[in-house]
Amino acid sequence: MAPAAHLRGVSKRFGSFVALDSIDLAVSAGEIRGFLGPNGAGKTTAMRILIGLLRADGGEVSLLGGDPWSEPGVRSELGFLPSDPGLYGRMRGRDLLDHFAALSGRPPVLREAACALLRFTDDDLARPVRTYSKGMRQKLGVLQAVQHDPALLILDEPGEGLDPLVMSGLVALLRDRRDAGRAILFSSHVLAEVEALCDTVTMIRGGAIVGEGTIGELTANRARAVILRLADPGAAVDLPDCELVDRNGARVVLHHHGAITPLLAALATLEVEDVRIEEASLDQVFMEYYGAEAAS
Amino acid sequence: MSGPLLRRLVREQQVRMPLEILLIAAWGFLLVAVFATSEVFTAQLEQQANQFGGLLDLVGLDPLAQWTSIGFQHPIFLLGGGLFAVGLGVRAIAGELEAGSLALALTRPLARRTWFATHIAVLVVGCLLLGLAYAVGCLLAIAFTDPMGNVEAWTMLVAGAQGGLLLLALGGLGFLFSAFSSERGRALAWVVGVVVVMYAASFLLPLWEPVKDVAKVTPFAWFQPAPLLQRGEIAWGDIIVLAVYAVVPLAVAAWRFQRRDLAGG
Repeated sequence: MAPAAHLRGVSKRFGSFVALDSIDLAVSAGEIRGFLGPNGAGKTTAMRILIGLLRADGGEVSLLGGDPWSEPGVRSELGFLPSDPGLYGRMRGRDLLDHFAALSGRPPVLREAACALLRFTDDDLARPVRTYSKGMRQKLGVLQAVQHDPALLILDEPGEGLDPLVMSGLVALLRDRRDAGRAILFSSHVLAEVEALCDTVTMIRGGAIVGEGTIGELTANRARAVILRLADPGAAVDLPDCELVDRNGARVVLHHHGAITPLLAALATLEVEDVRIEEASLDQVFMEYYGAEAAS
Repeated sequence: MSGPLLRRLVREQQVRMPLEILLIAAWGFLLVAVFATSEVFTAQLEQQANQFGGLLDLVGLDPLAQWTSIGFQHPIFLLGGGLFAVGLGVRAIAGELEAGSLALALTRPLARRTWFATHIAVLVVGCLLLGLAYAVGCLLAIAFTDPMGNVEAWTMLVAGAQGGLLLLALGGLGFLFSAFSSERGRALAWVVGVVVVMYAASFLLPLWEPVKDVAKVTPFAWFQPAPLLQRGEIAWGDIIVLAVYAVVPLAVAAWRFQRRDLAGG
């Protein structure tokens, strides 16, 4: 199946600064793709090229089968949430949503359901946007992006400012849209959100793609964390295929590569008060990719 | 043009624009009413007209025509109209880009040229209304106060439309600087700076013989409504030059907006 949107070999410079260096990115129908990277890595630039706000210096851009720069009509099936959506403060929430639905040329068929999931009431919609809190503005931003049920959703930090209850509603909403065959590109700094929601992940650093795959593929063959609380704080710990990461008295943290059965057998010989074995997380993968950069 | 965008722009102006129209109409009304009720003013004006008539091209004209033509070139008219024209231009691109609302609108199936054309439509209508508001204010005062002198209604309305063209030229500068900027404040500062310098130059440069023709580079030099108001002479050459002053910045702004990256907001 052809991707709903893709960048192929796309580059972008701002003066002498290379914002994107020949990157590939694609999102297909029925997929939620996470787009990860630290601040300044190029996520927003890539998204803005994808929707036609920026022009690529080189490479190929396709949005819903057309060129978003020269064919604005292709954006009728697009929903976009920028990281800091500019909403007209003097308009009431409902008027603002009506305005954007009219600009999209499509009825807001999903508004009611999305409002319910995001806990956005009729009273909220009746108020001027300037009276909204940051979280309510973010919810309104999500609503204007999803209300017309677009084939492609591009969301830049949609969870910003949302409380956990609303966030769970957003996750349910996006999963529902994914299951309905919509394509979703989703950037976030909160790795737990990405891990919970995304089928696939693309990681960008310094304008270049450094990792791509399913969460399982990205975390495969990476160390498990083994966290022990020993009965004897001074006891020696020598476990197979393990590397000591941290020790604070009775609390020991190790990374384990390899088969699990020998580890369990060795653990059985130790006197421990508690033990936890955790699969490698996206957080760990992220730190592997970006930790050195952050440290420098 | 985009219907939804046009409705939003009109709704944004539904309080501001009537107030500006009232302000400018009141300015025209008061100017004529004061003229009609004060012979001292009239005498002073005639004296001043004799002194500076060469500068303002007012010598020998009807006092009422002199008086009302000054109102067209007065900072109150220009400020009232310029608030709308320059404000709309500065906000249309730089302001909306900075606020982040342009990104939301242009990720709809809305071409940049449609966005631009819809704003221009509002600009043209608004400038025309504001120019005519002054003319209507003057005409109402003439009807109610019967001042000394004679100004035909049609000449006043044509002068009002010409005043609207001058405001359109100022609005064009607003769009021009807006199209090259990502910050509303920066674009506004440039426009205000350029307009103030041009306004001052249009009055000061003619006083110094070697540079008096330089004043003609400003649009203000091409809006002299007194002969029209007195003798009904339409200065088509001036109108064409003013139209060029309006169209060229708008064309450059449209060209730039169509091609620029929208990275802010």
